[in-house]
Amino acid sequence: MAKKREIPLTLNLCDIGSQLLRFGKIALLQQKYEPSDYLVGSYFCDNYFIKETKNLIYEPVREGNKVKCVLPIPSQSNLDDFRNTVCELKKEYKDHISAFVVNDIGTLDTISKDTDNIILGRLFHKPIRDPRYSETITDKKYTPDIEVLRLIDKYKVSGIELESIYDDISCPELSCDIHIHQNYCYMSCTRSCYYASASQPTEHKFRPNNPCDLSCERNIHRVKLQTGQEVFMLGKGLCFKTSPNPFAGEDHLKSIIYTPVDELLGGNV
Amino acid sequence: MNILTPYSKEVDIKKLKESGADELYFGFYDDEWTDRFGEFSYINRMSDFKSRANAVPFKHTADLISQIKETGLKAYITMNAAEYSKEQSIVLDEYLDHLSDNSPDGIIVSSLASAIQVMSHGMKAVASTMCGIFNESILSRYIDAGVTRIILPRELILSEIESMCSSHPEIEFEAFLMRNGCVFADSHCLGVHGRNYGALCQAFKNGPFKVDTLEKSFEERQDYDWNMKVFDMMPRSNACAVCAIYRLIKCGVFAGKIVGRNDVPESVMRDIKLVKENIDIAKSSSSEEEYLEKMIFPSNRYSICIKGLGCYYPEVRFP
Repeated sequence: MAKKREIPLTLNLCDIGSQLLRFGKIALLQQKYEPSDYLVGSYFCDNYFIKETKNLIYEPVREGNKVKCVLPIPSQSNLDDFRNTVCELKKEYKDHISAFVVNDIGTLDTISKDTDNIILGRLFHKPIRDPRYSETITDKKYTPDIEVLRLIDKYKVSGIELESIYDDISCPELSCDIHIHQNYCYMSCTRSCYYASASQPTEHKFRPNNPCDLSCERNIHRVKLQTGQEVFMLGKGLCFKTSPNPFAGEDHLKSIIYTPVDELLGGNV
Repeated sequence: MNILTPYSKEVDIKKLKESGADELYFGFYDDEWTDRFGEFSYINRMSDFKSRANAVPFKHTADLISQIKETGLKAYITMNAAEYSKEQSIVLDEYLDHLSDNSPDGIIVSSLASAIQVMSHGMKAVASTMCGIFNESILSRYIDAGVTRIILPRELILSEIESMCSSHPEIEFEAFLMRNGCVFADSHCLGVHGRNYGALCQAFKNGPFKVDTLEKSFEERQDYDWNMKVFDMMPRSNACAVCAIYRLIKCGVFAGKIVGRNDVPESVMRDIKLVKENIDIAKSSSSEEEYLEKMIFPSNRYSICIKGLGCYYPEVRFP
């Protein structure tokens, strides 16, 4: 009997990596999951990306591991600092960054000029998904969006990221790899940081581009929805837990992405 | 600055014009689309509100466009769902074929792929908040493709708007003025809006919560707890930008948007009148200070103006 293909696991350190680093959990996660590589950076927050990525990338790279660098959508105000940070990362870690994961067409266009291995990040993946309505997250077949197809064709990206809401990801028209976020699905995000607002006076709260003191490292806010599921505010991203399902169409599947939120919230590593 | 307002069914278009509206936008619904693609596959951002927020069935869009244009207003149509499959885009082509015969002033879209599709039918594409144009780098992709009208996301601050407008004076920029300020980023908020359980942001505000925190000191916990309280108090459904009208006009914003396809029409018309009066004041003011002295506040200022919590651009009054 043919051996089932083992799909590599990518450990996602984006947006929560600082907390994991602080508690010394990254080494333990490495031992537990033996990831083939890591995601560092941020999906949701340019401030976090600018402040923390150089700290976070050091840990996996130190052990000789490859990383994929995740680039959030920068605000207009942070555009220069964002670009400078990307340049510095490219220069310092060019032998260790195996791919850039981008989340907007501006960054995609810029980075494609001198980078071969680009993955369309999870923010390009926009089907409605709401755990309060099970039809939006179960019994689904993946069908790519026309914008995603246009970008794959134009920029020859190597892969796309999807959330774990499908039973079938077989897609003959797709000419690139698929990477699936296995255990936490993002459903929304904010550009006015909930956590950064805590240290601001009332009249300055919840503004875009509020100064960042990495309060997201010290807090995770979770809310129970009307139907009983929990959503978690991980930095600026709002996520819910998904159960890994076996699904059809694994031929394109390049990696499973694991986000260690459970371990961060006090579960045993 | 033009005033763009939502059109919802059974509203007198002439009254909207008399209130001060220059441009109207509306959505349509199509039961055939829903039958074919399912309840959670949308034509536009507000499809799950069905006929409550979508003025007409598709077969009546031509009549509505004519009525709007005969009144001397511009007509924009929303086709800005978060994503479309290839199969759905074929149906969109059929819609666009029909709509192009009736010359709407623009189609509001959610991605560059959709914009290109609209422009291939000879119509103007309007890049909506769903496009997430948060910076000049993204803006340039749309401009290079030929898009000439951009709806600026709610999450831009005034200095960012001023920067983008001054760099691209040839572009018609729309900015939010009144109502329905979103807590989460519209472009990437993928929860179900309407139906049984309401918007995700409301569920987040009202649901039982737990905070896993490392904040140890009493003061730090107080800060966090007050933060939650303020978040709950924010009157986002009545978000307002009238204090920013002078600056928005000065930097060249082409149209101010009053949101609310699902809102009570009389309430929307009150906001149109308020915005119109304040635009006139801004045009006759020689400075921002003069405008801020003379402007007319919304009638519900005592619930929305406190500490800038209901402001689209709080930096005007609370720099």
